[in-house]
Amino acid sequence: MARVAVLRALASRFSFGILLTGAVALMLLGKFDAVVMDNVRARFTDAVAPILDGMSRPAATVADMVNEVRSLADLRAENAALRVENEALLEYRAIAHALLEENRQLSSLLNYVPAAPHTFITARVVGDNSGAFVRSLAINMGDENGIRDGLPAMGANGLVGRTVQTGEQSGRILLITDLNARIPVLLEDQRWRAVLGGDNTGQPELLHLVADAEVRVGDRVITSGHGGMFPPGLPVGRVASVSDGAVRVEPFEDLSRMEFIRIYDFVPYRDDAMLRAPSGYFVE
Amino acid sequence: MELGQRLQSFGRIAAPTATTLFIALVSVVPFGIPGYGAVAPSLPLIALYYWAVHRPDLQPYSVCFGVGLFYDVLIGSPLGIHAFVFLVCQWLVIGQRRFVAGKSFVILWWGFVVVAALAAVLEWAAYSVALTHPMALEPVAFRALMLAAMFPVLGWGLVQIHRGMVHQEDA
Repeated sequence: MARVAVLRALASRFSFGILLTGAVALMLLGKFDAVVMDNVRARFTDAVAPILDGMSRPAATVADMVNEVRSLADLRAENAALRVENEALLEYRAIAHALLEENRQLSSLLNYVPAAPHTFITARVVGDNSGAFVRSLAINMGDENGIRDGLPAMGANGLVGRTVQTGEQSGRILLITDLNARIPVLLEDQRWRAVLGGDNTGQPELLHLVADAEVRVGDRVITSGHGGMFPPGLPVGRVASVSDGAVRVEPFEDLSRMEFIRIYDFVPYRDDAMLRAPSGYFVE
Repeated sequence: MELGQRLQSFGRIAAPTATTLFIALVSVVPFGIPGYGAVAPSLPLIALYYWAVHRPDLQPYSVCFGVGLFYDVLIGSPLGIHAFVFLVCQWLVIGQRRFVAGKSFVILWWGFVVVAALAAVLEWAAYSVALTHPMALEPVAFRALMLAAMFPVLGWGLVQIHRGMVHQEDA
């Protein structure tokens, strides 16, 4: 009996060492072969997504109820604010109609070819709370619903992130606040180009901004479309602070309370499109 | 053994792992609490600690490793990070469990405060290595505090489950 106990203790000690090495090896493997790891991970997520989906529904109901009670409390103030906002929006609508018509006429004058039409796929957020060091969300749609890696993900108000680790029936959104997120953007008014870099805080930073760019708090930030990863013109956020050359952007979307996400299905621009250009396109 | 008895004994053996996995699942459900996602602590550690103290026989290192991987997939962190953190925590708790096992709930809680602090630091280090980028230090202390503060709530539930198991074993 004593021998069995000794063996068991040995096995237990041994298993700790092996498993610990395994964990470290997985961490390193993920660094060196991200594609394989992403595939493995996508399979796993597929398996748990239905469970998460089921659990997220009652949770959403509870969250809705809390919101309902909260909104009942300040109904009057909200009503007044909405009335003011509605007036402003009606004004904007008139302007938009006029601009739309003008744009149509000018476009036809210039023979402008509009960008390819796009569609949205709406997915439900089934997993959140990634913690302090990773910013991502799990969604309940994947390959089967036409989602691929690298598509822009939008909330109701603006860009949220892009799709990564897409599985059959599930996927993940890498949020714009994540450490690994880099998005080519423009300051809407002055057309300064920059890269929006997440750093796991709530307000990502504008990187590679020209030194003499005059950025003001409140400036709107939109995607530039450079690099072809994102379509141009998607609203991203507003400049929240400018200090010591660091410009921080507050996303339009409240990333901590996402319930649904619209995946923007578009065809990313690829450099080899140039190879398919009609012959005679380039002057020799 | 009758089927009912067999089911019961299976339930007893599976209860620690099942509760840990359940807590892992609940911890990622989007409740829409503003700002919670950024500080969400690694809740499964509470159950792992509790069972490492009280029933290490039902929670071998392999279970710890598996739960860690499962949690990594759930929250989207690089694979292996939580397997690593949970394994080291389990190893330490099993070595020191005589200081907290069978003592009052408050002492159990104090033991967990130490484990939570250690886990937060380990997590920080593991993320920094896996993402090859030094992570911000501020969330570390905050996450450890959050985790320690959540212990009484989940710990109370675990005590009830544990009592149920003991009750069945006695019967």
